[in-house]
Amino acid sequence: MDDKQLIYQLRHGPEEAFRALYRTYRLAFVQWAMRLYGCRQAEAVDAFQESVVILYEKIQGDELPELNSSLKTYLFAIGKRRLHKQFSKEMVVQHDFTGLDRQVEAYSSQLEVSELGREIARLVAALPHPCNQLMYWYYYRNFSMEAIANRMNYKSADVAKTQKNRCSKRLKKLARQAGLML
Amino acid sequence: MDDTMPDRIDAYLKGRMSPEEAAMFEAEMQKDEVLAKAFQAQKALVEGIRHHHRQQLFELMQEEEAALAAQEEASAPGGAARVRPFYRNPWLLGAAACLIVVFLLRLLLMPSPRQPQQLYRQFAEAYSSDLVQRQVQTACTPIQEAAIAYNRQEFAQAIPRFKALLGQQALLQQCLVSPEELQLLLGISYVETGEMGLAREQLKPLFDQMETARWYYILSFVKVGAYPQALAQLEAWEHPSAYYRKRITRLKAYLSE
Repeated sequence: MDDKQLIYQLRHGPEEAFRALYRTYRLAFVQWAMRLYGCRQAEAVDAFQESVVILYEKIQGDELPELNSSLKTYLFAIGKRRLHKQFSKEMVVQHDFTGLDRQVEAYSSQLEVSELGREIARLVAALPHPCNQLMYWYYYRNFSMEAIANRMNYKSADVAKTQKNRCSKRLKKLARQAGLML
Repeated sequence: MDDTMPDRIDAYLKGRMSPEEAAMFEAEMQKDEVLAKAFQAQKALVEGIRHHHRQQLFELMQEEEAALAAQEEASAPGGAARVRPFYRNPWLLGAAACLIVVFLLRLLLMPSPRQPQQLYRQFAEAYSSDLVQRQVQTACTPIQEAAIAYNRQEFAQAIPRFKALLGQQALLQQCLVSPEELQLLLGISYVETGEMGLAREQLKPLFDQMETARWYYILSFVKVGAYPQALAQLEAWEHPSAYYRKRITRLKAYLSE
């Protein structure tokens, strides 16, 4: 499967494409990270997993810039940022003016989550259908209301939006019931 | 709270506002406590939703890791592939006993043409070549450690290591590392730690051999804001490779802004 096919499949969401992405680059990335950064295998695997998630989200959100390099190079550039962040004890001024490093620089803190965010994530797991699906498409996949209405057989985007607002309120209520400060 | 508030908060969180709209929204939040509170709540919800779905991806990846570990275990000697240990398999046990009997008979009846001395020599040769390899690997460890410190951007730790290694010509030769490579990494490390004089001292002699050295030499001016010197160096760079041509153009544009 070439890069374009893989990106297409990842964009359309099948779990198998995600697994293929993982399997394809895992070994090369882990060996590369261990060799270059002298890190342990577990650290290299952690960095790889975070990099894969960032790449996957960029592809799914259609935010991947036009690639001048291969998907592998892009993934490794994300990994490089992640490893630099882990190992550099002090922030250094970036001298690299190439586009790729600049693009991925902004992603490095994307996976950080607050304690409140973690608590809410537990409540999201308990949200019933259709709220769980709707919230996933709107907030995680960045689908438009029109696209959600089509997928969920709502009459219009407005109906989808009303439903989304209801689901938001429901989640907030759950959070308050759980004693979270919202 | 007005009806448009959730939509505006979402637009801001999803980065769908223009910079002007975003600035106005931020200013409004500073004045309006209700809006600020609603924003914080919505932000936490979105963060939680995203984290939940990421966790599902991490679970998938953990499944992959478990599958890989199982594969490795199965393919390793003595792993899961071996359903039953050989000593519990009567057929294998019988075959092993036969082999031992045949081997003992052979020793007794037909002495091996190989003399113990030859066997010893073969073993010694194999061992010594392994030993040499291990000695080389051990000797090269300081180079590897310096490179790892550099890769981790721990430049203050990398610098003394590179300096110590630069005097050890024999070691560098043994480990197939050229002194110029080390000099380049030392120069870059100096740039990163802000010791520009020392950086230029290391990088300038490498100009003709390594474009990277020239690039970092120029960056040593950029980092301290000496843009005219940097621009003069960029102008003086004759026949750069295609890779550096692009970077030079970008850097010139950046410096001229």
